[in-house]
Amino acid sequence: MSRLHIADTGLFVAMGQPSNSRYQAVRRLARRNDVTFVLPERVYEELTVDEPDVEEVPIDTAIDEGWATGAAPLEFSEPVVSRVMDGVQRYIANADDRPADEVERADAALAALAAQHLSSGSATEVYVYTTDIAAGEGAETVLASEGYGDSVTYVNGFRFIEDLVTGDS
Amino acid sequence: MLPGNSSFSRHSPTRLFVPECVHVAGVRRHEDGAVRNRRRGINPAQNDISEVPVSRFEGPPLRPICCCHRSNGPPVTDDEQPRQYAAREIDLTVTTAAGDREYTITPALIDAVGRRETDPDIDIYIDRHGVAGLATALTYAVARERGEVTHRLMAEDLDISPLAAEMILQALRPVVHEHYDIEEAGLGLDELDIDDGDDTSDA
Repeated sequence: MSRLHIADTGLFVAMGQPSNSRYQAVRRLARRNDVTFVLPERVYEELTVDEPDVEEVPIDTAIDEGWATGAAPLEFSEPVVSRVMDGVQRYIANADDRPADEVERADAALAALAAQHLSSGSATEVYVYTTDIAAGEGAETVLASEGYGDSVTYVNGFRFIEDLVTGDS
Repeated sequence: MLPGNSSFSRHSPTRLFVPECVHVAGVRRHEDGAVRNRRRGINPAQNDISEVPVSRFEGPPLRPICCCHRSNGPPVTDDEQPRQYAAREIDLTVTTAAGDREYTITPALIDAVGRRETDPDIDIYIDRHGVAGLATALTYAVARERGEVTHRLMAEDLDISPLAAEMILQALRPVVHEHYDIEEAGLGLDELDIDDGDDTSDA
């Protein structure tokens, strides 16, 4: 049974800097349990944007330390990947009464990456860590409609870190 | 001028006096008899903070109910008048760029502005986007915690980077949870079967 841990931007923002106890707690958990957080391309781009007002997110440090990695590009030629992408965009659009084509594709990339790995068999269990409830619930809902309901878990990034820090103290 | 009485026009600096404690949220209206639960200090149905008429928040002065204001002397009752409490001043200037858009000063917004002293992300955001911009961000923060928008939709709508959107949404999250009823979504670590917890080293 192989597990895939897909992380969204908010998880790494919530961890803070390497000196922060939240960052250290997540790193400790990852190392202890052989977890590597996989970032869709768009998530990595978001985290590494040159933003003068915002403190740099140490994603490259986590990658160098070996507990985070970038994902290969999505394979849109796989029908299930495209279907899940469209499905999550529609789900998020519905939540806010706006056209699906206005929804950022990065929101749907988390679920699409999960679909790619589940359909190819390279993962049998996927965890999606995000701070966007709409993206997490959308991933669970749409992947369930593809028959992967028992294989996907939406993890609330804030609750995950809060539980981890509380448990460590 | 107390926030409950504030009725301000465009470009006018409004001076607000808020209780000298961290629970700026802990205010309620007395004279109208509507005693509200602290976590529901503003109408949760009033999702759009930034575009409701100012007049909706005109009314009797807000009073602190925080426990720290009750620590000295006999228990506070509603019929002892007048009462005094410590307050600190914050500057709140709301400027609108265009049109007849009106902004409402809500307890949640006052709380958020007050946190600029201790939260650099909120401080920088106000420097860049003003209190009106923060009011808009707070609207998105409420909607995000309700699963209605994502940080990327906010970024797109406001023409800021997704990272900047995520930063301010995370900074405002405690304010949202203090003032609104938010249902928990998704699983935390405790419900997951990930951590075997047999080693606490950080090698």
